[in-house]
Amino acid sequence: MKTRLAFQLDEEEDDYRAAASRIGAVEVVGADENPDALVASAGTVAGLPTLLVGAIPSAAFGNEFAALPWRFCPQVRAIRASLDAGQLGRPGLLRLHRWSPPGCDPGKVAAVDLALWLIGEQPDATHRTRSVKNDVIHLGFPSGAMALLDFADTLPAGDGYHSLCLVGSNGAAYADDHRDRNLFFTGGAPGATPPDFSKACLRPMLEDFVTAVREKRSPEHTTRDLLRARQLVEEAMA
Amino acid sequence: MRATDRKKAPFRVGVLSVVKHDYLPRAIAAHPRFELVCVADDADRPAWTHERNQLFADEFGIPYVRDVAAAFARFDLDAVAVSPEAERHCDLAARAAEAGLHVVVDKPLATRFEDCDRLIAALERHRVQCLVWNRNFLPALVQAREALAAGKIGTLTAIHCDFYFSKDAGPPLGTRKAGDPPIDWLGRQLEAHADGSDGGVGSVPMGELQVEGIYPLAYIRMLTGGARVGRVFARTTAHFHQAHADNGIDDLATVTLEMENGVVGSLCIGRIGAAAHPDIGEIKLHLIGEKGAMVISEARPEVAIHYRGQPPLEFKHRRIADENNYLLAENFARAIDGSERPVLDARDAREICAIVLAAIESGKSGAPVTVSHRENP
Repeated sequence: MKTRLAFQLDEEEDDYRAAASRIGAVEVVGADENPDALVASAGTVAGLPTLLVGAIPSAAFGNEFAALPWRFCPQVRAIRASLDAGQLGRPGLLRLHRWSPPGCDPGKVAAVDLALWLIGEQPDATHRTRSVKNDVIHLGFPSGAMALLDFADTLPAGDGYHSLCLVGSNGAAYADDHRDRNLFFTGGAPGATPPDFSKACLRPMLEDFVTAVREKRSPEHTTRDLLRARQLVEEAMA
Repeated sequence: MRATDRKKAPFRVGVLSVVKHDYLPRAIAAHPRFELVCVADDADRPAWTHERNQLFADEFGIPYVRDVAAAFARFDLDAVAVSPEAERHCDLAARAAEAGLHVVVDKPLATRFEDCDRLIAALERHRVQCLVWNRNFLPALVQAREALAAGKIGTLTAIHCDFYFSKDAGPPLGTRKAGDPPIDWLGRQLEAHADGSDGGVGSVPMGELQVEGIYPLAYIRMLTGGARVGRVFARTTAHFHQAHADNGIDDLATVTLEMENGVVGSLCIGRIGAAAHPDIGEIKLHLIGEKGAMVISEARPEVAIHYRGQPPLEFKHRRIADENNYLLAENFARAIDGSERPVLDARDAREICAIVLAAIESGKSGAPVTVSHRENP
């Protein structure tokens, strides 16, 4: 039996619907067509499990799941799978750069969530450094692991830049736009552009949500993770 | 870069100990402005050092003298190439400077301020030059420096460097059996000589920050135009190797740098194990300016070579067009000629030593540490 999934999104609803339509266990329906679950920008339909996109669920609502798209990006999934398989050993260092043009959210909370999720610990040391163009968050963990994350929203108009490196005791993983770029010669210096996989996180994220709904999983731990990440960012930025 | 005058007589160079990497004296020997004339070391050094010195001297057909002062007196030297155990770099360099000789010395320069001060005082007293070995002339670094100088990204506001050597260093962490003695640092380094991973050879255990930190910090120093680091926050640990854990030193470290003029920076450095990268390691620079940004891979340009039967540890990507050694030697010649300053001199290296010492202190205390710079003597 398929899960009837409805969407109430302020942005990217077509992308979400397209991603959902590629999941065999999902039937995309309207919000007024008796859905089993909802993917929404804010608010809930009473009693309906909801994947909340772009906002942190209120702890009071037990049916709101935090959307954590970064955890489902293809490169992150590959790193996580390698980590879970024991290929990388114990995480020692996570290095992340997240740069964007003005007006784009560099995603500090999502980045810190990612760091904590991959390292698998809560930090016992936080240090922040900043210049006019760059915020740096430096985390230390009880095991000795460490994370360095920096953010800029001052790139010239155009593409952003993402880079993630995880060094473990047995190996390391490197995912960044630098190595993924292709060259395009259209006069002058060539343009360097990655293939577009910006929406590739949607289908696995929706699959995970639908599975959680079917298994009647509690959304509590993802909400808690996100709240911790937000608190950590707020403390670092204070 | 235009070559210096090749018609001048070559500078006569003594090699002061060649027990670590021999790339430094080889690079000097390969440059037309220099001529190796002897190897020298102290008589009381252990037998293994004399063996290595003698091997090098025999290969170059030059004498090996077990008396440094006697070598200075006998061979009419202009300069020395210093490549002993890591903890002796500064002492031998200072003795040469005190004898009025120009110095090219392997990294790290020193792990104590006092040693740097002594060297700098001797250099200034005798008006001789000192080049500390570095990688600032690698093609990607030259490209980054030129792009910055041309204003491609405007004024620099942030610089981040990743510097991972994907090398092993003996048994992995956690493999020492109960009752086994801790790994002896010198013994481990002597074993490592065959594969060239003995950058910290000597009796004094040194972590990655102390041994290799000068490379990325020299990049940052060059690309920021020598901006002084005011404060650091660091995390350090032994994450990979039993030898580092047994000797209480780091093989993994992260450092945030607060520099003058509001520039921020960071450094990730580690000896992360041979399995962690197909080549020597991921070494990258991320720079943000007022008008744009740059992402630079230190390894480029390179060529990928794969073949049946390839040894597992052979690098799959080979660096090409690397003239770093030649350009360093050329820079040293120019410095002696008086036409250029060394790309990394003893004062620069002392500043870097101060940053490393502050980072180690921060790693131990868990708190930010103000960098104690020395003012000019």
